Amino acid sequence: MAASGASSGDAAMPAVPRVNGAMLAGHQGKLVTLVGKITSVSGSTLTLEASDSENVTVHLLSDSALASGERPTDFVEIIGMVAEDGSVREQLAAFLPTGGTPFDLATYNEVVCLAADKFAPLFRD
Amino acid sequence: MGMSQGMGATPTKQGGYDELTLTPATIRQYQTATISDVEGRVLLDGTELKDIKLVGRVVEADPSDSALSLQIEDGTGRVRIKYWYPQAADGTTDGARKADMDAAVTEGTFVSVSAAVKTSNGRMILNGSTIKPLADPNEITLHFVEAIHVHVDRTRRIPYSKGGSNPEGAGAGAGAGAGAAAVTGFGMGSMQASSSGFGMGSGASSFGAGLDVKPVLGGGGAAGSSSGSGVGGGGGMSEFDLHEHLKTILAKCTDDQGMAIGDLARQVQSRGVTEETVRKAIEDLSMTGAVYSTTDDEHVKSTEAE
Repeated sequence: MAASGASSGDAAMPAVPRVNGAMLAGHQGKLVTLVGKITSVSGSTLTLEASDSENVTVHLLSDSALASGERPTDFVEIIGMVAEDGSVREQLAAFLPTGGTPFDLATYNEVVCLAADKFAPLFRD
Repeated sequence: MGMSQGMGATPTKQGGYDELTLTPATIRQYQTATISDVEGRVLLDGTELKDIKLVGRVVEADPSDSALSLQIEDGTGRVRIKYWYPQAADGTTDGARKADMDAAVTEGTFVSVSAAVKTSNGRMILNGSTIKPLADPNEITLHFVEAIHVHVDRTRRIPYSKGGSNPEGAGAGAGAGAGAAAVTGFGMGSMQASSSGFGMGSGASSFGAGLDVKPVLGGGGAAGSSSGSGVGGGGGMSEFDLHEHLKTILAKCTDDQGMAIGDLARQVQSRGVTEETVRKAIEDLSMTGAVYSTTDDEHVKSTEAE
């Protein structure tokens, strides 16, 4: 006899799903978590190689830490809103940890796919 | 910078490692855990959730004199954790360790958190015991893989005949009524995450080479969906008959490398048994020592064959 879920003591915030380049089209107008590798930055626009190797255009905030030429690492996690043209508007960004071994985007991509499909109940609303 | 208070995965008093005391999970899984009325225990995937391991990005870090209140997010949700700083000998907060923690754990930092799961007034709260900035970005990926692995492992214990009790949250349909029809389509499958050579920071081998993620999921899909889709389909063999039948076929096979599981599946296909069910049965048989793998995972041989 179990009490109902949602007993974690906080109003549950919605998930911000982890996506790769191919999944962006399915999340237009929504917030997503996009992890990838910065390939180039030009003013307030950044090109990110997503975990499926697709290039994504990210429009940066005016005070974005990603706009600077100096970065601790090229691997970042960006929370952003997906626009109709498939670009992403940055809301928040963080550099991935810099120690240990280089970030393996391909393996991370496997997790993204599992999170979207077979194990969605563990990852998404 | 591990501010640990001695928490970790430890064997149970019975001496086995069957019950991890530290469960890797996503925040969403934590939010779907239930409080069992019986003793106020928290349950996830049919197992008591005592200590949880989460990995996420710090959204808010709010230090006070005695404790650090954190909010972390992992893409699946957001959660609060309260971490009491270690104390000095005189019972006050250890200032140096607090300073280290406050400097290391700030907004935007990726951390690994282990926390005790408690209940208070019917709600769950997390008391942090270890909070550690990640030493390697691949820990993010590894954590999710571990969460999936433990989830599959805990939800796979489903008898598909004899009407045994189901772990909470597992797919419905097991033990169907009269016992005649088994749950043939319900193959939970297995997730193999072998992380041999995964030396975080050891430098010896690269993460990519070490981690091999092969999810194989058939039938009803992830636990938690009790719709029973894909469960109890097509008539068929009870568990007892299928195992014996497979053993009989294999016992007659004198080939050194045994038989391919695919071939075995084809042989029982006419009886309405799906390949997923055969694979599950083979797994069961290899756990009891009746069959074993030969040249590769796909080939098995009976221990009774010549």
